[in-house]
Amino acid sequence: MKKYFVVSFDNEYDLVDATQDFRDNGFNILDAFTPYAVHGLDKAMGLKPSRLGKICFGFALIGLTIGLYGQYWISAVNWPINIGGKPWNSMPGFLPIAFETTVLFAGLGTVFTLLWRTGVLPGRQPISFAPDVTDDRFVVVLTEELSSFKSKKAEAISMSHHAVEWHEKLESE
Amino acid sequence: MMVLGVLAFFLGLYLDPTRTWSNVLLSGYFLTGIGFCGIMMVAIHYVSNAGWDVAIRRVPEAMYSVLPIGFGVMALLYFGMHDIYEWSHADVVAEDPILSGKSAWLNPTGFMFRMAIYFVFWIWVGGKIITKSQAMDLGENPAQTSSPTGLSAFWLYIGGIMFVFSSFDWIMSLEPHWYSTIFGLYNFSGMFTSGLAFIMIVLILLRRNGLFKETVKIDHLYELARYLFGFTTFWVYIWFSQHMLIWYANIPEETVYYIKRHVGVFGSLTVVNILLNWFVPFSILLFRKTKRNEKSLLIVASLVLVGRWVDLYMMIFPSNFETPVFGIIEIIIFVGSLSAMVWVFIKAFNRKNPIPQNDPYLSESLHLHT
Repeated sequence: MKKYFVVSFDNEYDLVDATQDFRDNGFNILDAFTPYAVHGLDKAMGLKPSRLGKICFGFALIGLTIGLYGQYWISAVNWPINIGGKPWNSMPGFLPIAFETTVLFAGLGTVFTLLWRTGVLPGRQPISFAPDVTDDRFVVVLTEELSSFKSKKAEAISMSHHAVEWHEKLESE
Repeated sequence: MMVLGVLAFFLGLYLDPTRTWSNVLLSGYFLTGIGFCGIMMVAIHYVSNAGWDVAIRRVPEAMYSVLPIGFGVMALLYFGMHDIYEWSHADVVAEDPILSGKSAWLNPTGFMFRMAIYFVFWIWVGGKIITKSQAMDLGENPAQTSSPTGLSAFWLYIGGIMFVFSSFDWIMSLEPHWYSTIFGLYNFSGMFTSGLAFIMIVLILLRRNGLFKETVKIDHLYELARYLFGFTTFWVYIWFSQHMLIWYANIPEETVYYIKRHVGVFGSLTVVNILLNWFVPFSILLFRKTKRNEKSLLIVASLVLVGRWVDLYMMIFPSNFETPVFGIIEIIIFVGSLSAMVWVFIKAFNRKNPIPQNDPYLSESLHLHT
């Protein structure tokens, strides 16, 4: 059975320092919950840099290709129309729309990839360790097998970083 | 170098006045842009209530002192107006219906008068922002923090409109028959990238020097690099907007501007311009690693400053020259004014604490994480 150790702080700086401390002491950090994005927390938790940027770039390239080739095919290959005596393949005129498709593909692609990878989809039951995080609390959750969890140590670290409150929770609860 | 610059200026006046005055205009406008960007950065961060920039704020504040030099160089144009501006000749204007139609705005008196108004506003109101901002050093007073905010908003609004008009007056009127309403924005984007590049170079050199080693982290440079990444792209966006509309409409009185710049050596310089101002910075700054690396940032920032020179060159020189001119006059006048700029900047920077004291946001800025 797994055990969760939930620690709450009342400001972001204590949270980041404590998270770093927990990790340095070999605790397994399940997740951190904050009312807003906290800079530096990902580093303290030891998260790898997000790969979303690469996904975004890939989608952008797809969008650019579709935008450019689509217009080229429409106005130069499939149905050439003479507009103001310009050549059929008028690249400068294609660029604004190619730019828009690039942004559209990159934006939507990134959002949907994020939703898919994080599992934030309609109908999902939220897991709430501490309802206060929607208000003014900063919470970090540690997890370990019940038998091997070093409660004393975790409490000492929480105390040294001015934690407001901490409690333990079993997986079954 | 400054003495050499002045010597080259007089020698050039004797040899080729048009070329010399074009260089003076280029250098003056370049310096004005750096000074303008200094106050603008301070003002934007006050208006947006930013905290991250406090540790580096003294650098843009010191850039403000470059503005008076820009004023001095630009004011020299009073003597050189007739060599580069077609509309400054009363006899030419009288015979030209388009120019006489514009003469209510484009005339020598109005030109100098407006220039004085722009600079007096930028320097006077900007100076007040800087003074208020630096008054915090003297004592702890939280109310002081927000006191430059209103003035900053006022400066940004009026000063920004003035910047647009100044670019119309000084650069666009070199070809008085041609006009483009986006021209001011185009110059704004170039001014912003060059100012950012200057701030980055100063910060990197001061970090290596040891002065900012503790206080300015790579995260501050990362924030600036993201600015630069965004605004080099903004530059090409505006460049292309102006180009595409003129290309699309294909009206002779508008296309004449680009025909001059797309043919011959000027044509290759246009490509160099886009490479330096957008393609190279964009490709390098696209990655997180390069945005967090002093060395690559130094390279990009230097390229952008060179690119700003090429950009201004491409705006100014094709108006009066058939083929590009480049030689000792260009180099010495530009390097001379650059050294004057650096000299004034260093003097202004040394006068104050390198880190603002007593600012409530200081600790937030020192703990910047990105």
